Order: sequence, then C-alpha cells, then structure tokens
Amino acid sequence: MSEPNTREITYLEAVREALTQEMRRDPSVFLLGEDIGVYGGAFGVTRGMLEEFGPERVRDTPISEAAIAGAATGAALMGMRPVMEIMFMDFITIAMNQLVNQAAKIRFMFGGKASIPMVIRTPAGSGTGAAAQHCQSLEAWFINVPGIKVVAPATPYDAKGLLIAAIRDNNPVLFMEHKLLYRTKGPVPEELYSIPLGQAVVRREGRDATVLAYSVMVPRALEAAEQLSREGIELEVIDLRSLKPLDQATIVASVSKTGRVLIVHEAPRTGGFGGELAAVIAESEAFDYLDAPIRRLAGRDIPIPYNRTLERAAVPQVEDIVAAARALAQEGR
Amino acid sequence: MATEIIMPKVDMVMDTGTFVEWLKKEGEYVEKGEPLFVVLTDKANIEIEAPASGILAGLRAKPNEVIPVTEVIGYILAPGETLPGAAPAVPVQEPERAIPPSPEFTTDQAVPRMGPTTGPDKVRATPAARRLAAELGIDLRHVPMGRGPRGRIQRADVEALVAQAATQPSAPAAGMTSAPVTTLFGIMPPAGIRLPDARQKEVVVLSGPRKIIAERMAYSAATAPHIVLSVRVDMSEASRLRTYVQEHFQQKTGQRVSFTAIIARAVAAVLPQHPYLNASLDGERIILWEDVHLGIATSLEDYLIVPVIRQAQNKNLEQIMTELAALVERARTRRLTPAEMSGSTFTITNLGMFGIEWFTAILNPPETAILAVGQIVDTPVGHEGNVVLRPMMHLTLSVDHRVVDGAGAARFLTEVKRVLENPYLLI
Amino acid sequence: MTEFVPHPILDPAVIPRGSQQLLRELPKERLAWMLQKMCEIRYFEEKAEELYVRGLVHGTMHLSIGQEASSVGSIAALRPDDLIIHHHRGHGHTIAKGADLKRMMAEFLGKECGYCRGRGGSMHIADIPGGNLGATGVVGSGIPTAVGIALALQMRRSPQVLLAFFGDGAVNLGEFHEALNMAAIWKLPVVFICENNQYGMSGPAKVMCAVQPLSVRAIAYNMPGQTVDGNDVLAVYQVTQAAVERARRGEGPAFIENYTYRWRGHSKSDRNVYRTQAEIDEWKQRCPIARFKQLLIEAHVLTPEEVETIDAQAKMAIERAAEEALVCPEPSPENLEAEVYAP
Repeated sequence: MSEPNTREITYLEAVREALTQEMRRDPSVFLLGEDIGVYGGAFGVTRGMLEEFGPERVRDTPISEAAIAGAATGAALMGMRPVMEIMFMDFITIAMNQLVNQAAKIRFMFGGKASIPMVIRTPAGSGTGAAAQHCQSLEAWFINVPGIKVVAPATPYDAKGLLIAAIRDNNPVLFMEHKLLYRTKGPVPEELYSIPLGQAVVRREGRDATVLAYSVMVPRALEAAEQLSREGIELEVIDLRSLKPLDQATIVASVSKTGRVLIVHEAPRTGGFGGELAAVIAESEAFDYLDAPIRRLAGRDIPIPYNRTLERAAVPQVEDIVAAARALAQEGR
Repeated sequence: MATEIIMPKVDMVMDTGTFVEWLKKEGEYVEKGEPLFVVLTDKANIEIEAPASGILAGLRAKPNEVIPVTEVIGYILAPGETLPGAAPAVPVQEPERAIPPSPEFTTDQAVPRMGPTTGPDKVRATPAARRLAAELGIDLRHVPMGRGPRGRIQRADVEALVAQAATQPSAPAAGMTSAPVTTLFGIMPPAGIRLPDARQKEVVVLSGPRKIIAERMAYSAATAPHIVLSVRVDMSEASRLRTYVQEHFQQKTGQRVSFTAIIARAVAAVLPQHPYLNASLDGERIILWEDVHLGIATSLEDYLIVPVIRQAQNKNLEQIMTELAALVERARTRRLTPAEMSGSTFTITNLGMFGIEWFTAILNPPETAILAVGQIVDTPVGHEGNVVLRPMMHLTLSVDHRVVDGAGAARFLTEVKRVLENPYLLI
Repeated sequence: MTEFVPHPILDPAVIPRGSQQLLRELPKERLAWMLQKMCEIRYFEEKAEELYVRGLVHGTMHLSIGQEASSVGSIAALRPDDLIIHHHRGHGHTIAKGADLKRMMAEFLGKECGYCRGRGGSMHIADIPGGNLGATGVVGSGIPTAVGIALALQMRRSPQVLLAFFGDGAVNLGEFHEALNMAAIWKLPVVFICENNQYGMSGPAKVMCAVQPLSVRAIAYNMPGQTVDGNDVLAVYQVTQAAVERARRGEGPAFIENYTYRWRGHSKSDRNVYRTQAEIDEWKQRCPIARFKQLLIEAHVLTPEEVETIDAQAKMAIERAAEEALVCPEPSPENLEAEVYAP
C-alpha cells in the first residue's frame, strides 16, 4: 500500500467508510437495522452516519428481524440498494424466511425478471464472551441456498473493497464481519475501490502445505505460518474472502502445488463449509497431487461456551493451527 | 528382549541359506519347538523350529532370498516385549491360546513389513504417489513400506526409489530387494541394470493394451518352456487353389481369399486329431478342447490383438474367409468386443506380408501351441531330380514343452504341411 | 367518495354493502370491466382445473373460485401504476391486475413463454412491468416484503400505493405483526388486504384466531381496520378505494378484511373433510359473480344481453389462452445456474 492516500484504519472504520462513501455516491443506498442510528450500532460501525445522512437513510428499526429483512428485500426489489444490519449473526434466524424464501428465490422464481441488490451485514464469531446465542458463524446455511452470495473479509482493506462490491452487486450478499477483527488495523486507501467477489488471495506463499482460511482464521493462520517458518515449515495461506462464489482455481492451484491442505474455520466442523471445500479439492485435478489426506480444523461441535477458557477451546486458535499444520506438513516426509 | 529368529547354520560348509517359506504368519502365536520356517541347503529342504514361544513379528525373510547365516530374519515377542527400535512400545497381549493375527498389530507402523498393503491387492498410497508411480511405470506393490502413517506410500517414497535406482546402480534400490519380485515385466531386472546415459526423446507410460501384452508375453516366456519346430511347405497347389476359387469367392462375398484363411482352414482341419496342441495348461490340469477357437494375431498400429474364429473345425473355407475378413476389419476400426478378442485355443500369426521368411512366436497363454507363418518365396528346390523354383513357405510352430513333446508337435506340423501341399483334401 | 372511518370494530351484521350510489358514479365501462375480470378469473380457474384433470399440469394449484369479488374489487381501486404483492391463491389478483391470459396460462402449464418462463408456476406468477410484484408460496411471506416495497415508494416520494394480499392463515405469523408494526410506524403507502376465506388449509379462522373480526388486529398497529363483505365487489372496491387514497396522501397503511369463502379445497390434495357440503352449498348461493350480474341488470347498468356477451367473451378469451399456451415450447433444463444470480 504505497498510494499516498492510504492510511492505517481499523476494520470497523473501513466498513463505515465503505458505507459512507457508497451512500454519498448512490442515493439508492440506505441502511436499516436495530440501533444503528443514534446509538451507532451495537459495535459502533454506523456511529456518526445518522448525522450525515439523516434518519431516512440510516433507519432505526424495531426489533423485528423478519420485517427488517422483508423491508430490505422489498426495497431491493424496487431497485433500492438497502444494507441491512443484523446485530448479531445469531439473530438472522428470525429473518431466515425473508432471506431464504424471498430474497434468494425471487429472481429465479420470477423467471429472471427481478433482482434483489441488497447486503446483509452482520457481526459473526466468538471471542467476546457473549456465549451461545451471540457468537455463531452460520455461513454454511447460506452457502447452501442458491441465490445468496457470502463474503467474509479478514482485513480492513478487504472489508472496504468487498463491502463496496457487495453493495454494487445485484444480488443478496451476506457480509460477515468478525467482532474480533473490528479493532484490527491495516492500510486502506481513502478512495472508493471494489474487490470483485469470488477472488481469493494468497496471503503467504509456501511449499509445504496449504491453509485455507477466511475471516478471523486468516490472521491466526498467518501467525501460525510465521511460527512454523522458524521450524523450516513453509505454509501457503489462502484467504478465501468470498465463500460464494468461491475461487476454486486459486485453491486447486495451491493444493496442486503443495500436495497438502488444512482447512480452517470457526464454525462447527460437522456440516461446515470445510466439508464443501474438501469436496471441491477432492473432485478437482488437485486430487492427483494430494500427498496426505485433506484435513479440517474447525470449531468443535458444541455451542460457544461462556467461560473464557472454554470459549477459546471451542474454536481453532493459533496453537491449534500450528499443531495441525505441522503434523500435516511432516506427515510421511 | 525379543527373541531373534536367525538364518541357522545347518551344514558344516554353509555360509548362506536360501529361505523357502514361513510356516507361520506375522502376528501369529508360536510355541517353542513348532516348525517355523523352511530353509534350502544344497542337500534338502530343512524345517527349522521356533526358538521360543510368543508372537511372530518383524518377519523379513522372503521366499528364495539368499541370506547369510546368523542374520536376523524375524522376532518372537513375549508378552510386554516390543520390536527392537520400535519407538512407541507395542503392547503384546497375554496369549491365552493361539492368538489370531491382530490387525492393529500387523498394520502398526513400528512393524517393518514389506508392501504397505491392506489387502491382497490394495496398496495404501497417496494420490500424488499413485500419480507419479503411474507416470514412471512403477508398480506401487513393489515399493517398500511407505513413510506415511501406517506405511502409506508418499510421493517422496516413489521419488526416493527412483533416485536410489538412478544413483546406486550396483546396489539394489530400496524397492528392489534381493528377493525376486514379480513386476509387470514378469521379473524385476536384476540389480545392476541401469538405463543408458542418453538424451531422452520421449517417455511412454506402459499402460492399456501395451501393458497387457507386456505382462502376458513376459509371463509366457518366463513360465512356458518353448520348443520350436519349422518346416517348409510347397504352396504351389494352395496357390493354384486360391487362384481357382478367387473369382468365385470374390463375386459371392466381395472378399479376396487370403493365404491366412487357407492356412487357418488347414489348421482347423488338422487340429482335432492333435488334441494336446489344442489344449490349455491350468495349474496341474491339461484341458483338451473339443472346439478349435482359432486366434489370428492381427497387428494394429501400436499393438497386437487376436480376434478369434470360434469353432473353426466346423467351418469351411468360405466361412473362415468371410469371418476373418470381418474380424480384421472390426479390429482395424477398433470395434471388436472383448469376447471377440479372447478365448482362443490355438493361434496363427503371419508376418509374411511384411516380407519375413520365418520367425518364432511366443505362446499366447494359456494356449499350448502357436503357428508362425512366413512369406511365400519362390525358392529353388529339388523336384524329381531337377532344381526348380517352387513357392515355398516356412511354418514355425512353438509349443509348450510341459504339455507337448517334440514328436507330437512334429506330427501335427507335418500333417498341416501335407494338407497345404494337397489342399484338395480340404474339400 | 366515502371517507374512511378509523377503527370501526364492526359487527359482521353491519358490514357495509356496495353503495347503489357507486353504480351511478362509476362509468359503465369500469363496471363492465369488473364483471369481465371476475368472469375471466372464474373461467381461468375452471380451465385450470380441467387441464389438471386431463393430466396436463405438473404441480398443484390453489383456486380462488368464489373469491373473485375480493381480488377484482380491491384492484379496481388502484391506478394502473399502483402495485400489488400477493400469495399462492393468486390467479385472481394477477388477472385483475391486467395480466396477459396466455402468458399466465403458459406459466400455469410450466411453459417457456409463461410469465416466469415456467420457473415459478401457479404459486409464483409475477408480472413486474404490470405492477404485480409476485405471488409467494410461504404463507405470510409477502407481508414483510411489502414493507420494503412501500418503503422504497416512500423514500422515492412516489405517488404509488401497494396492495399486499394475504389470507386469514397469515395473520398469526410473527412476520405479520412485525411487518404491520413497521409499516405503521413509518406510515408507509401500503394497504394490507386479508382475504378471509375462512380456512387456513383446514384450520377455521374462527378457531385459530383469538379475535374476530380479524380487522380488529389493526388497532394494535394504530391503523384503520375494516371488515367488508368480500363477495360484494362494490363494497370491496369502496373500502379499498378509501384506504388506498388515504395511503396515497401519506397517512399510512390500513388493514382490510375481505370476508369471503373458497368453494374449492385448499389445493388439489384437499378432501374437504373439515367442512360440510351444506356449508359449501350455502356459500355458492352467494356467488359474487351472479350477485354482481344481477345488480348490474337490476340497476339497468347493463342489459342481460350485454352481461351474457361479457361472460361469453371471457370464456372465449380463456379458451383461446389455453389453446395458445398448450402449444408453447417447454423450457430447457440447460444452464439454469446462470439464472440464479443477476449479472
């Protein structure tokens, strides 16, 4: 990031900047959600935006997730570009009917005569001590619904560029923000820019094993790679960024190169997106290059516990990635 | 401490012994004094008794392996004992009576075993190892136990095998142990054979039909003792017959009468009187066939197939001719069914059209005889006191000496000659 | 024009009747159009049933025979550029909103030239350029979506109004309450129309709903509520008209209950075991089409011959639509994935 207008800002600020700049650019973009106005959002993402854009475009709603999702869907059907916020991803369950049966289906069901350009922003993930109903990572549900796209940025730069792309996309896009990433800092250009959905990025090159990660697992995987590098093990870390559409080419190329792959995600292992990633690899030409079984390191099949130690133990930590990646890289060598 | 099983010195002047076979299996419980394995000395096979009671482990001697005396060829483990050098101790269960082979035990990484197999034919290997092995034409069954978990063969194992074979030509490579190992070539080349130091043009993977031919021919050449007999046949009358019927057949069937068809008809007519040449060796049985299923070796551009004329003994020249023409045409266009390419009881192979005067053929298993046909060449021969030019043709018969002796083969071959020189006998 | 009365908690006995005055005020052509649409709906659905019986229909369907006054009376109160969103029992709204009968029938038959190119079928007919924003198959799903549509209209300062149709089965969903509340606090230009045909599949509204009439629910959202004789097309028109114009003035949503009856089963799998034949027969005596015909003739708006001509023309239009739709091409299963996402 050597552009003159690039500065270090937080992931949270990057999200806010994307929203603000898109709302300035396009009057059809507006926000709706619980406590996003005066309060500034439960995590402060929209703080200050009410003052600039007023209550019509930074629209506080009742605690009515189904109606929020319906309002976004209907407005999008009319050509607006709503960005709805679900305060915690767990609450998206209330909105499922609108998102799954309406927003995702309308285009296809009506013979391609309509589109639903909307974004569902929602903080996901654990690590804040908020326990079982405020910490979930429910991306796999949505990935299995044709008609919705799913994005999970890991850096401030991506948060801004992907959110802008999501707002401009003509489909419902689930935009997963991670609570633990909100405070992380990184270089972000002041200008508007968008990152195409469906492009993964190789965060670190390596020869010994590929680690597929997204969201908060990307910085953890990079930290693990740094530690293993001191042991002479070089991990290739891929940040998927966009889960659907998925950049299969980058995954296949990397796994074909290293012959080993560790899939890391926070969501519970069983039925998680990692299974899909494993299948994608096994079905691809990368299969012929696999020199070890595909491994998954995922959240345990338990609700997120409250206690700090238990909470940490529920999802992959840096040391878990180190151990799993080391074992994988050394297996049969 | 595990009890060592060694190659015993059972003869005063013996410094190596040829290992014949284990009488017990890896993981099996053995009582001290029970017969354990067999060794061949220059006098006889000798059964060697177990030196202790316990579980057999780390058995490493292979049949036909020549082993220096006193070399350790395996271990007997008492309860609580582990193999020397085995890192995590493998607890041995207290045997109540004889313990059947335990899968946990036999597949444990600590136990060196040849062949990382999980079943008779299954090889545990990564996709990458399989892919590389396929590219290099290496049969993974002959890669020693892999370095992966539970002996899984990794890409690195295949690479190591290749590297070792290339850099240490005088010593057997890791996968090429001193024991003879059957490969797709039949027998692994002996140690010391190395590839020439030349620039490569192309590497063609041995696969598909080529691989099948390689395996079958190597098997046949290595297992069937061939004897080869040859006669020269005067084809004057056969040529006359061919000219005579040519126009008639061509009008009727649109096909030209080939010498191969005439020879096939002669063989089909003669074979039923020579049952051991129309036979198969199946283990310890010789099966004599009632039917003559005549295989006609046919060369395609890159390999060889053998379409079969079934029950040729019941078919006249016209039937054989039209059937052969149809089979060859289908073979050239690769439309033959597997059933049409297998199951022959006798094979005829003809290189006459390539100008070859005579050659010997390798038996097409499980057949016991194959007839190689050469070119018809006008040759000066003695005839009624004069040297005259006659159209002569070599017939060269290979037979499996396990089933057919020279005299039997000769009787058949001369009978075929007699019929071809008097082809009107066929009508 | 009748002024809308806020919060009339009505005794069903005093449900307003269609005003004789309307027969004089409305142009003859408008009244004839209403009859024409009601006849088209009836014949369309009878034709649909016939095609189903002949094995030409792949899925199921939900018939609104007996409810024609509800859809036509409501939609007659709209301007051409106003919008509707509706539900699985939606043939009537679609026809009343001006859909092309052939394309509708083609969609019903799953054909490529259908409104949704055979992707939606009977339950999901949408004609977006015609202001029909689609029928939804999950009971009540359209109600929150309606909030969004109306929100977009409001944010754009559009004069358009949305009618959101749903059945009596939808009013006990959480989505209904969330949506009505949200529409009310934001004063959105939407009129919620509950077509109370008395059964949510087999569940009687009288048993399943804690309060009667259903329009009473409007009180909770501080919006006007009105129950109307849903088999009286002019009564429906009159009440809807008042609510629509109120919404158009920016005074917010209203809730109307069209009290009616479905003659046919819930869908084609219904064996009608939850109600009596006598009840069905009684409601058939209150046929909205026969009533309206009689009214038009008695008031000398139309002659009996004119009424018969409208009826016969509607029947012919449906026959022609079916004939044309039957020969439409089948859609291709190839490349369907490309249609899931908008470019």
